[in-house]
Amino acid sequence: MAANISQAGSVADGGVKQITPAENRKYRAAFAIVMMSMAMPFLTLLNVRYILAGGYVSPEANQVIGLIAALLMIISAGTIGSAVKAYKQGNAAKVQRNIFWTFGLGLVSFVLIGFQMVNHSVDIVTHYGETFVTTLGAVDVYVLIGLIVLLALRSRVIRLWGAADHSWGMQSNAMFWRFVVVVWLVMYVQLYLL
Amino acid sequence: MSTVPAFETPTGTNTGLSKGILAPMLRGVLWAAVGFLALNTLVTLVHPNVVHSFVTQVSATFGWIGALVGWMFAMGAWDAVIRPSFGFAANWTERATGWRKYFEYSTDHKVIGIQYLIFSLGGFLLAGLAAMFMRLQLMVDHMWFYQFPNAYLTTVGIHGTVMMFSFGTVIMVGGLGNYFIPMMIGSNKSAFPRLSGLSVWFLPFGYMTVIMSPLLGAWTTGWRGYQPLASQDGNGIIFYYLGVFAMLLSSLIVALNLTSTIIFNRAPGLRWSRLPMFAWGMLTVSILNIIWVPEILMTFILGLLAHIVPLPFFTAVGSPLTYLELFWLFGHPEVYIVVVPAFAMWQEIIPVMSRKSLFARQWGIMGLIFVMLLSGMVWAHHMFPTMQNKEILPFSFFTEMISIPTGFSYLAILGTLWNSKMRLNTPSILVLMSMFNFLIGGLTGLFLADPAVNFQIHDTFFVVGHFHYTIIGGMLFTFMAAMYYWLPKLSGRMYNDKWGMIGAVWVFLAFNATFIQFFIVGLRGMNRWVPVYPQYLQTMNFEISIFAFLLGAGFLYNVIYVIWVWNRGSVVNAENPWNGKTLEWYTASPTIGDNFKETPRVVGGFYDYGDDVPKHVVLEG
Amino acid sequence: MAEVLLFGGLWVVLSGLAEYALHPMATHFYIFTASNTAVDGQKAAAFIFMVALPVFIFVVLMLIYAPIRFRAKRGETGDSKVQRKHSKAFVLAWFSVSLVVNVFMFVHPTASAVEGYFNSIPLGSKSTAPDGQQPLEVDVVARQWEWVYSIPEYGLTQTVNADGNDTLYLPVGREIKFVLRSYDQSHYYDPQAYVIHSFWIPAFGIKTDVIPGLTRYEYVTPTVISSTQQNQMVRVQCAEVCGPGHPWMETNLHIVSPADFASWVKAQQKLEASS
Repeated sequence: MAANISQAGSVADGGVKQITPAENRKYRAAFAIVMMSMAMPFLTLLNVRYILAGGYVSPEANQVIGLIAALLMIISAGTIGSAVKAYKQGNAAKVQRNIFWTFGLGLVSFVLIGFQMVNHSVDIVTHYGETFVTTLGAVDVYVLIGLIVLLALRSRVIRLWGAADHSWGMQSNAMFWRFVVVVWLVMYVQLYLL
Repeated sequence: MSTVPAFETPTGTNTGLSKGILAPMLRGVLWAAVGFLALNTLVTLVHPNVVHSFVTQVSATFGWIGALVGWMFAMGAWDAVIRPSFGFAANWTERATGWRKYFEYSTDHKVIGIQYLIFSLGGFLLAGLAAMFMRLQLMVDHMWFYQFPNAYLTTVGIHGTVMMFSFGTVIMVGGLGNYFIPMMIGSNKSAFPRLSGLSVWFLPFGYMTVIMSPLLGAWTTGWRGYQPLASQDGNGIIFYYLGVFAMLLSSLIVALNLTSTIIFNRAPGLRWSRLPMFAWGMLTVSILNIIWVPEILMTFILGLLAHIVPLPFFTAVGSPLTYLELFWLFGHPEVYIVVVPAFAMWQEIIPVMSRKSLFARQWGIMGLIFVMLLSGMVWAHHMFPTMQNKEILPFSFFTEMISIPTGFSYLAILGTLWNSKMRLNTPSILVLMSMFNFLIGGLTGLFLADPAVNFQIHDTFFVVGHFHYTIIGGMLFTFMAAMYYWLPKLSGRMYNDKWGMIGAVWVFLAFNATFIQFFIVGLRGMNRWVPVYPQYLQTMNFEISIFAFLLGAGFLYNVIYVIWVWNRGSVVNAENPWNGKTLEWYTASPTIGDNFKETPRVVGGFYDYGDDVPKHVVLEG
Repeated sequence: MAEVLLFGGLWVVLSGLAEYALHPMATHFYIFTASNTAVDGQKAAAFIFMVALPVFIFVVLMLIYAPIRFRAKRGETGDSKVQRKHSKAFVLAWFSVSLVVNVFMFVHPTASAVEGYFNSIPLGSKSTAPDGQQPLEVDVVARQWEWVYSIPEYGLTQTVNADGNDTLYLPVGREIKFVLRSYDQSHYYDPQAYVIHSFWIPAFGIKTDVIPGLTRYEYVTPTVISSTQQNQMVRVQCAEVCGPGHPWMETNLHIVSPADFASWVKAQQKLEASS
C-alpha cells in the first residue's frame, strides 16, 4: 500500500524494504520543518539577548574555549558526513569510526561549553551574563541530545547492519547533528564576537 | 517513516520493564518517585542551600526531571523507543482487549486518541473542581472558604493552567485528532505511532505536577506566570513552569505527528483539494503549535531560571515587558489553537446533519488559514495598558481584521443551513449553540480590541467573560457536539437523543446565565485575581456562583451520560447512522485493529450532497 | 427570493427594535463616568455596541430561522433538494460588508479615540493642557500592597486621611498628570522586589500598568465632583495581580471643587509639617 509509508520493513518480510528517493525527499522536507521548530528557542534567546544586553560582549567570556569548541564542532560536522558516505558505500568499519569521532568531538565541545557555564568567569547576575549562561545551557542540552542519538545510531547500525535500510537513519542524524553545529556557531558568534 | 525498525516478538511474552505484576501506571509512579529521589538527593548533596534542606529550589527542578524520565521510561519509552533505537529487540506487546489497554503504552492511534480523551477529561474535571472552589469563595465578599489569599490565587492558577494546557489545547487535537485524522484521510496508521504513544504520558504527568505545586509553595500569578511577580512568588511557581513544560511537549509531538500524517499518509485520490475540513483544522493548529510551542518552552525556562537562580531578566533593572511579549507571542496563537478545531468541526457536522453540500468550502478553508496567519500578529492586544501607547494601533488594527477570516466559518455554515434539510439532534443543536456562544465571545472581543474601551475593561471580569465565551462557548460546546456525533463510531453504541438534548440545554442555559453576568460585573468595577471584592458586588457574585454550580453539575451529567452510553447504550445497528460522507464512516463501529481492510480510493468530494451525486469513495483490495 | 426578503425584513425590524430598546444600556456601560477619558471611552463603547448589535441579530436570527424553517420532516430521508455550493452575491456581500465595517471601526472609534487621547496631552510644543492650565502632577508609587501619592507642586510627600491611610484628592476640571512608578521605598536597594501593578480608577474609564524600572504617565481630567463614599466606582484599585495583597490594594478617592482642593492641600501640608 503506497499510501501508508509509516513503517520500515521487518525481517519477517523476507527482503529488506528500501526507502525510495521520493520518500527520502519527503522525509528531508518534513525534517526541515522539525528543525525550524527546534530553532525557535534560540530565536527567543537571541531576542532576549539583544533586548537586555544589546551587542555587548563581556571581556570575561573565554574566547579561547569558545573558539576551540566552535572548531571542534565544525570538524565533527565533517566526520558525520563521512559516516553517511561510508554507509552508502557499505563500509561498516568506517561508519563506526566516523560516528565515534563525531561523538568524541561533540563530547569535548559539550564539556568545554559546560565548563564556561560553571566556572563563573562571567558574572551571571548581569544582563550579558544571564543570557550567556542560558544560551550556553540551551546549546549544551541540544548537544547532549545529539550525543545520545549518535550513540543510539552507532549501536543500531552495527547491530542491525543488514537487517534494515538505515540510510534515512544516517541522514537524519547527520542533519540533526549539523543543525546542532549550526546552532552553536550562530550562538557562538552572537555571544562571543558580535 | 521511522528511523528505527520495529521488531515485535511474535509471541506475546512481556519482558523487561513491561513485565511484572504492577499495573503500568503504578510502575510509572514508582519509577517517577525513584527518579525524583535519585536526582534530588544528588543535587542536594552537590549543591546544598544555606539551611541544607532536603528539597531545594534547584534540587526540586532536577528531581522533577528525574521523575519525568523515570515515569516516561516505565510507561514505555525504555522498552518501545530507547531499546529499539539502540538496535535491541523491542520486547513488549500491547494488550488487544479490555479497558486495561488504555492505561498502558500503545501505538494504535485509536487507543492513543482515547487515552488523550481520558486524561484530558481528567484534567478538565480537576480544574473544574478548582473553579467550584473559586466560586465558593466568591459567594461572599470576605475570606471564608479560603483563609489566605495565597491559597485562593494558587487555585486560580491551577484552574487556568490545567484547563488551557491539558484540556483546551489537547482534547480536540490530541484526543479527537489522533483518533480520527488517520481514519479521515484513509490510513491505518499515523505517521509516528511510537512517538505518539509516548506523547500521551506527558499529559497526566504535567497536570499532576501543576496540581501538586502547592506542595512546594503558593504561587499567585495565575496561568500566565507573569514575571517579575513569579520570581519573588512562593516556590509553587517552579512546578507551574515545569508542569506546563511537560504538557506542551505532549502538544508539540501531537502536532508533528498529525502534520506528518496529513501530509504523507493520505489515501489514493485524497488530493489537497479534497482534504476534510477537520484535517485542515488540525493542520493549521499544528503549524501554530510547531512554531510557537518551542518559543514558550524557552520563555518558561527563562522564567524558571529567573526564579531559582535568580536571574534579573525581568526585574526592574531588566525588562518586565519582555516576559509579557514573549508570553503573548505564544499566548495569542494558543487561543486560536484552542478554537480553530471548533470552526473546522462546525463545517464537518452541519453538512452531514443538514444533508446539504458545504457552502463556500474554499472560503471556509481560507478562513482557517488566515486566522492562523493573523494570529501571530495580534499578541500585544493582551497588553494595551502595559505597553507604550504609540505602539498600540497596529495591534488594534490586526485584532479587528482577524474577525474577517473568523467570519468565513460563519459564512460557510449559514450558507449551508439555508434551504437545507436540517436534522435537529443533539450534535447539530450543540453546534448551533456553540456558534451562538462564540458569537457573543467574538463580539465582546470587538470592545476589547478598541484601545479606549480596553483601558477600562482590561484586567476586569469583562475579559474573563470574553474568554470563557470563546473557549467554553466555542470549543467546549463543539467538543460536546463532536462527542455526540462520533459516539456511535467510537463506542459502537447509540444514545437516546432526548437525554443528550437535556444535557445540551442544561449546560447551555447554565453557561449563559453564569458568564453573561461576568461582563456586567466587570463593567461594574470587579477586577481579576481577587477572592474578595467591594460589598456592592456581593449579590451578583452570589448568584453567579449558584449558576456556576449548576453548570458544573451539567458538565458532570454529560460526562456520566456519555460514559454510560459507551458501556451500556444500545448497540448501533448501522455503521453510518448519520449518513456521513467522510472516510471514518467507512470503518467498523467501533474499529479494532486495522481501520480499512481494503484501501479506499477517493474519487469525489466529501462535502457534495444530493441524491444524484455519484459515489465518492471506492474500496479496492 | 421571497424567503430572502422575509428574512431580511425580520432582521431589519428586530435590529431596529433592539437598537431602540438597548440604547439606554449601551450609553451606560461605564456605570458612572467622572472624567474626559471615561466619557470618550463610553462613547466608543456605545458606538461599537450599536454596530455590533445588527450583526449579532443577523447571525442569531439565521441560526434560529434556518434550522427551523428548513428542517427535515419526520421520517424524511435523502439529501436536501437544493444543493447550492456557491453564491457570488452572498459571499461578495458578506466579505465586503465585514471588510468595510472593520476598516470603518478602525478609523472610528479606534484610531480617533486614541488620537483624541494624545491630543489632550501637553507634550512638546504644547506646554499646557487644553484648558490653558498646567496639568497637576500627582506622583503615584505602587508597592506591595499600597498606593502612595505625592503632589510635588505643593510639597506633599504622602497624602493620607485622618486614619493614616493613603488617600487622594483631585480638583475637578483640571488636567491631572499621573506619574506612575513601581518601587518600594522601604526596599529601594532590591530591584527584584518590585512587581507590575495597574493603576485603575473605574469611574475614570482608564487604567495604566505600573511597571518596575519604567516611569509611565497617564493624563486625565476629572469632570464630576464625587467620592468613594458617594459612588464606589470612584476609587483607586490595583488591576494587575501583584501577590497575595492584591485584592486589598485600593484607596479612596475624592474629586472636589478647586476651593476644597486648596483647603485640603493646606491641611495636608500642616499634617506633614507637624509629623
